[in-house]
Amino acid sequence: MSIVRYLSMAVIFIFCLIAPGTVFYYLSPWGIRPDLMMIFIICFSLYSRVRPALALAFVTGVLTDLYIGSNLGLYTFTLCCVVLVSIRLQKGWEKEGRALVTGLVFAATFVGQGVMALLAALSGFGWSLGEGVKMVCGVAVYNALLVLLIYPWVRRFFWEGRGWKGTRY
Amino acid sequence: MKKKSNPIGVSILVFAIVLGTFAMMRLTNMGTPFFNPVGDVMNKVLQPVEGFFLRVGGDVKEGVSSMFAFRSLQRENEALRQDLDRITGENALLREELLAGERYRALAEGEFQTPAWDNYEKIGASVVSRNQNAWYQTVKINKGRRQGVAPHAPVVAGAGLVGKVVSVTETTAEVLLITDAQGQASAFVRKAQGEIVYGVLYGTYKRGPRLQNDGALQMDFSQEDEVELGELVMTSGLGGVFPKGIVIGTVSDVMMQGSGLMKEARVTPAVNFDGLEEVYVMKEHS
Repeated sequence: MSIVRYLSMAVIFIFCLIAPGTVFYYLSPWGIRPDLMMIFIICFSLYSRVRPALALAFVTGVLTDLYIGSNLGLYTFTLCCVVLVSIRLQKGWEKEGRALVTGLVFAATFVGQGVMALLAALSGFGWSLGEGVKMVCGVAVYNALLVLLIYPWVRRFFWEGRGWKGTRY
Repeated sequence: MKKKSNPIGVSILVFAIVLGTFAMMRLTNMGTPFFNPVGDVMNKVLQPVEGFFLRVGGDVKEGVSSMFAFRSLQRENEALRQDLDRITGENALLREELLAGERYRALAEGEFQTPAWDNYEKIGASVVSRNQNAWYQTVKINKGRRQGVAPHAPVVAGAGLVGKVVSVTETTAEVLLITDAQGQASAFVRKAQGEIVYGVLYGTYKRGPRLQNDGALQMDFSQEDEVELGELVMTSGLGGVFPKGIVIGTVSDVMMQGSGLMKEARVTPAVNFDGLEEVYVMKEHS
């Protein structure tokens, strides 16, 4: 990967880190907001090999945990699980398409949020079962809808290796 | 030849990772301070960007909602006019009471303790981000250790109690809102006749819409306590975190709990958590 691609990835990472607490605070129907970091990791793992995807998930997970400043390991563990689930679900694909990627993002986010909810419950977060289920399903649907909208760009950036202006790296 | 993986070894490894993650999460739970220089630097660098994004988001929301809100604005205007008339009348009465109170205070000078608020210095701060971790209701503010903000410091806004600081970096702090179930406070209801009813106040995640941005509070009392709608709820100062006398909200509903042993009241917060932009962190005078 070239330096420009690394920089693009860093910008996307920063956006995924701060947008849920700022921009998406105002775009949260029923209090549900997307988990952009999960979308980023899922999309990367769909068009990458296991080891680089796991490495990215680990690094972004650790940085996200440190940035949030509590419950270290929650994001790191969850994102690594999401990579393994995404790659497992992707196996056997002959070709990819908008519907398939959207479905996969839904399934992987659902599993990822489920893992998060389970870890959170074990750590003593005070959430009722109903609210937890609403959160897991809501975030999965929100993530899937977002990917449905941004699919052409996701495909270009992660699969064809092109950035915003179509430059090949 | 492909190397065969050992299922027992893999299971032990997975178990160890899960256990390690779980232990790490418990050790760094919300409100537990720990050494985090990387997080400090990230928060310091990204804080201006967050503030910018939050302002842009707020402006867009305001612009869009004002386009669809003409009729409701008219109704709101009418209601506000009626409120203003009522408040003007109440204000005249309160002025009389204030003058009476002043005379009483002058008489009792030296007899009473200084109000709890006087023991605190107020540090003004702006909200730069909200609910970063969806599992808690928190806001991030742009003042931190450097400005003297410390964990467990009470946070107030113009109208009342907001919550308490749970984690601090060099330049930012995370505030757990009182509407979150983890943020309990010892409180009392000041009755119109002057007497006081004590109770415990907490967020309503069990029954209420915890995922929503606006706050919801509940307060439990013993069966004999008489609490009326509209009465003022304030911090009692008994919990050790919040000083006495900070307004939390007003009683909006009172009901008997299913067991019949306790009463519960819904409390409408004095602070509009959805539109929270500036807060004060209360720092005890050294």
